[in-house]
Amino acid sequence: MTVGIGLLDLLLSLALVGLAMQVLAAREPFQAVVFFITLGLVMAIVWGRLAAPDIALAEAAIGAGLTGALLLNAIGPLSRRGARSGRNAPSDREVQPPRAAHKRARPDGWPRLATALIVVLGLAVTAYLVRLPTGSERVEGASAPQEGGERAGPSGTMALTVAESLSASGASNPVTAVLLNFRGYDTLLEVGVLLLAAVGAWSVVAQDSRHGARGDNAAMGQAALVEPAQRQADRRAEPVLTALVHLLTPVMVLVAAWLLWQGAKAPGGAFQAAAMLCGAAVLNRAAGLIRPALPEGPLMRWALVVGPFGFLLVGLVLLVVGDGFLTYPKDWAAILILAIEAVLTLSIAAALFALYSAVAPAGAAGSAGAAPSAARVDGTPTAGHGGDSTTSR
Amino acid sequence: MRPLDLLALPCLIVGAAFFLAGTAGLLRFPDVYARLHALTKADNLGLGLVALGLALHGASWLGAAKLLLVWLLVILSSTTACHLVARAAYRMGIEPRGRI
Repeated sequence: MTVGIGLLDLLLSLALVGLAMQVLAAREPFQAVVFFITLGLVMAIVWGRLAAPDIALAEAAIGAGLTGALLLNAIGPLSRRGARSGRNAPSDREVQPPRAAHKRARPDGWPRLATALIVVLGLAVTAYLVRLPTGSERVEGASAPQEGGERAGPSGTMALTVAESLSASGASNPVTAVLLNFRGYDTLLEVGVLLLAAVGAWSVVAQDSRHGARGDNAAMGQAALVEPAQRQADRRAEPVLTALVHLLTPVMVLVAAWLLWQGAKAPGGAFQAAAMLCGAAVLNRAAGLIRPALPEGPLMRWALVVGPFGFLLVGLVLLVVGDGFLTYPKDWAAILILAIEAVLTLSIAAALFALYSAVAPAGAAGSAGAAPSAARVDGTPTAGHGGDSTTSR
Repeated sequence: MRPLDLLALPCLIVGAAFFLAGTAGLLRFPDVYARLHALTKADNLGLGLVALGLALHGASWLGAAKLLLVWLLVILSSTTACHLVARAAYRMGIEPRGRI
């Protein structure tokens, strides 16, 4: 795939900028989140156009999918609080007054200064990128980057170095080789950061859930992940979603396993497989079929820890017995990469689901429709009208 | 590949026209339920035609099978999403509004 500028690329760039502006200019948080999800989707297409399918997969699953779900659940309490404080949802004609009512006291010049700064930075980055030589110009043989892994012209000679060392790395997908072998230490730290984020999210939510209606959690310390049958019947039945989840969960787990296996030689790998698994978990959670991933019980804790711990263990063993920290011996490289990716998949999926559970309202079966159902708390006709006007724009 | 391309092109164009019709419905229909009709029905059919056109153009059985699978999965998920949105709107008390 070549990196030439075509009509499609121009339209995609315009769409990116337009959507980003819409996210900032949206009148209601729900609209902004919808635009953000669309932005993530267009970004995934752009990554595809840039011949980076691994990033495209991760962007679509995590950036558009999971972050969208997190944002939707986060703005639910916001609209509830807004409705309770007496703010009316903006009707079709009324634009200025609600916004003016929300404007915080801020010095007047800041928006213009910020805009000017952003424009200058954007122009500088564009100028730098336009003058940067592509990989095929810097390297003597113009065909060299093509035979490495069909990645179109990244600048510099790093692509050539990766292509040369690829056969010794244990993976034939250059992205996996870089992530898990050449830059394995960075990936280890990344997963550590994800673990910290999950712990942080849990420490915020654990207080709420212990005070709230979910006091049963403490009593069921060692409970299984699946809801007991009578509790399931208590929730609002969502038969269509439940049927879809029953149908799709095996498919998603299978695709996740395939992505994990594929990662060594084609776009895929631990992050993408984990995103798929987390998507399956989020769907099950939205259907009310599993309880959220709260820290009570050993299952989630072990799932979170096994990835970084396994990675670290391999590194330490290699430090003691082998050539150095995370320096895979050539014969073992492929197996080690696959094993590390497998435990990483579990941990990343657990961490992402822990993040989602921390934000998702406890016991809400239809958390996918958090924003419209949050307006139900108010119960007034204006809330319904507000929901209607959001879908009309 | 040429005769297949002759078949693929009308499929793609008609599929794009269905998407256009669905978007027009989204913008112009009076209430949530009518817009859901436009979105799910027109867009899914449009996607089916586009997938058919691409399958005819791509001429690989594996690729055609993948496109068919994509279409089926999109149908499943979009109908479920349509049902959930309609249910949420109904529970919020949004009444169907009638004529365009």
